[in-house]
Amino acid sequence: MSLLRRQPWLLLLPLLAQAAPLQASSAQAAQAALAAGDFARAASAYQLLIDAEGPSASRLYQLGSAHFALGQFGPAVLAFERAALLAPRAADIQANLQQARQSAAPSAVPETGLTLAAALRWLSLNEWSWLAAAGCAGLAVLSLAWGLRGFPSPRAARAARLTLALSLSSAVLASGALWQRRGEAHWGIVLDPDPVLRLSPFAEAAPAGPLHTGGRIILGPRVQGWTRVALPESPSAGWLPNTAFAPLIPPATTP
Amino acid sequence: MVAARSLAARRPLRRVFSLLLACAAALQAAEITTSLEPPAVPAGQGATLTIRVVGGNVTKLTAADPPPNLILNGPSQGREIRSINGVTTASLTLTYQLGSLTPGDYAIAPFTLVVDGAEVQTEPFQLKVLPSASQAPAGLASGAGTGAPPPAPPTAAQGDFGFLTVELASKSRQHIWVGEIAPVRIQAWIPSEARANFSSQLQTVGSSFTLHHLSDQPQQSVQESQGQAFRVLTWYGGLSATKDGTYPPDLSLKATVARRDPSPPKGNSPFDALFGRMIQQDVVLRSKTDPSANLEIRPLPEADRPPDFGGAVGKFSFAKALIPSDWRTGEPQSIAAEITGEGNFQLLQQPTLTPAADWKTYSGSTSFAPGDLASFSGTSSFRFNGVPSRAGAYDLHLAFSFFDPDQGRFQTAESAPQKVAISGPDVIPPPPVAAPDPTPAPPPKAQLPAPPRPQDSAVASLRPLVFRPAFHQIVANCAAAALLGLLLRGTRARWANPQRRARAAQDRALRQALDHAASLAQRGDAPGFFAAGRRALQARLATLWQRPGSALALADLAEKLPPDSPVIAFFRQADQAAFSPPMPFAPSPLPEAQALLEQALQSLNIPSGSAASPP
Repeated sequence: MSLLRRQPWLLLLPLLAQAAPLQASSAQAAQAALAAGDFARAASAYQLLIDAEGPSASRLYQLGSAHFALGQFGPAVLAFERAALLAPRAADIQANLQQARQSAAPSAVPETGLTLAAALRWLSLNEWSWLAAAGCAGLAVLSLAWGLRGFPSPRAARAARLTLALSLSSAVLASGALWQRRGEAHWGIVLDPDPVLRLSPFAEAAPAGPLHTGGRIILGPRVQGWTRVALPESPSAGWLPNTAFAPLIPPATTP
Repeated sequence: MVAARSLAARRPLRRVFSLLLACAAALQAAEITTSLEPPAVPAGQGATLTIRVVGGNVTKLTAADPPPNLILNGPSQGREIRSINGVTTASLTLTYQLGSLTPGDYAIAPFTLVVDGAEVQTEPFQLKVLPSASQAPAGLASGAGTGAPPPAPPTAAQGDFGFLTVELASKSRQHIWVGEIAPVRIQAWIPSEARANFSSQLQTVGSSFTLHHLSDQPQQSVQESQGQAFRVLTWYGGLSATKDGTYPPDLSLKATVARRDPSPPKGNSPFDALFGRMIQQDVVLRSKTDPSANLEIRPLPEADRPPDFGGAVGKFSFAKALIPSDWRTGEPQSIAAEITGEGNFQLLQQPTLTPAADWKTYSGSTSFAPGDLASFSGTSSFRFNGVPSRAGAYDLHLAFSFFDPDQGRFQTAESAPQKVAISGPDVIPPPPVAAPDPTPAPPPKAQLPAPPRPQDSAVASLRPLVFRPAFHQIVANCAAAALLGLLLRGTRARWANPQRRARAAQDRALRQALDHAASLAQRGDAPGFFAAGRRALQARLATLWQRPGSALALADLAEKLPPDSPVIAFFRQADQAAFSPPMPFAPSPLPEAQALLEQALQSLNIPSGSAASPP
């Protein structure tokens, strides 16, 4: 009892022990449904798993595969895009994402070639963030060490110069990458199989431009169930109902 | 149309003179313009011939004798004077009315004018007189002379105000073909004692038939039907059907009809007895729709349908075919053809070059010249380009297909064969492109290239660190730590500066020497005061001159300071006090020495008051 008084978190151990089998069982059920070809059940199970326990690259990948098999190309592209957000260098995710995009919009031009955008996506936004934070932390530690004791010995000075170069390059590179990709916070994916971009935020408004399911859109302000969206690399802009798309990065949930 | 031409007179000299005069007049001012509008008119209607002379004085006008059957009335004259930018011009306009009751082409000889003494002739004119708008178009029999029995009214009630009848103009058959524009005669029967005003055009009811080329002016006559006299208005037009079957050609015409009330008068008004009571009613005249009025619409046969048949139904033939005789491979030339006849010219296709092998033809231009006002007959002119691809000698002709409604079968009209010689190297046509499969197979269902993953991966947040407040906190803390390190480094560097430390030691030595001098002065120890004062000055000079203070002697000061410097004076007194002590009971030199030390320190930029002085 005295131990429990000193360490109260030990009371949570039985709950954790129960949660682990639940997690394993739901993931296994989803996996089994996918393997059995019951894609509707698999999609539902993976969505429930993600909502309950959080996303992982594999779960999003399986969810995208299930949606794709159901012919739901918009949700499939969304799931694969989110999986690529977590694991940008996974070849299977990239391949399936390309296929889902192609199936969603056969006339769309696939992204090819070694572009700056592709190079910046070699790391995920999270990885770029941690790299930038690590660079900043390295610079801070170096500055403190220099201020407190300096680097009296040549060996210490060499180590300090190396640390400075690494930290500074990491911070600058990661900050530049994050700055270039800052717009991804406002990206969305069209889910509606027959989306119509409207000139005004109501259903009877005139169409404003071409749009296809699974396409990327840039989200703007929201007005009563409608969101003003723009199309990347296109001057078209208009309004979409909020049910016709989903943000690539879910909004922060407030406890 | 502009024409101004000098003509000769009969004698040679007079001819030359008149020509020169006419040219001079034309060059100076006179301008003669003529116009004939419209160039083609229906029989019974007129065209206007206008001759306008600007800037000349017309003294004589001689109209040519009109050809037979052409009526020429006029002229009527009009004069106009204009002043533009100070230039005044006068014009004379002569107007004639031309027309004929007989269709045909009329050539009108030139008119002769004498303008400013010179004879001028206009160009000859051509006027085309078409058949009358109220007459039956070409190929249609006139309704008045058919001998057909007068039709009965559709119903008794409708017959009170009039009715319509529709009949095929051709009596040889009682059916029409799909796509054919069959000439029809449409008559409106109005009781002879009634007055009718039509408020609409003749139009079909329903979608089975379509009216084409309806004549503008109806022909009027009086006929009797079942013992009742009718005023009959007759239109001619074309009726076409789009689907086969048997339907009545239902037509309607809105009219306001006023007629005498057939019921016996109710009152005793003398006017009613004299003039009768009139009743007026807005009615819609309809044609009969009972089975006796049905028309049989036959579909075009599918058998023996030529591949180049485009839907033309009628009777057509080549009026002209112009194919150049000399060609060169790969070089286009123009081919012209005129097709004349009666029928549906709108669906007449461009004739094909036969044999078509080794030739490529392109779509060209088409124009249609109606032969009658209803456009049942006429001539279609085609002009298109052809390009041969192989050299040689050919017998070419043009051909087109149509459906003959009277014979009920397809016909192919051919122009007379024409010998053509083609020179030049053969042009190899590009290989034919395989025609796409008309019923392509459904696209295969797309498969994902990568299979599902067997293992789950670590759960992570989709919201990256950069979009979370923690990231900004981490960066801010790192920036603060880096700033703190820089501040520490600056502080350390400042404290470790040797110059700063030496200066501090000298200041400290100066302060100590001055304090010591002050205490010695307070005790009255003059030698001690001078020694401490000299150390203080030496410390100050060491700071200024960057030399060891203890090594500075009077000789060094004499080199760098002026001779009257209080520093030198204090050093001299200090030497004197050190080497020759003052006599007992001699007055103390300390007050003056203290003042001198004060001056010496001030000369070395030591602020006043910092020198040792007794309290």
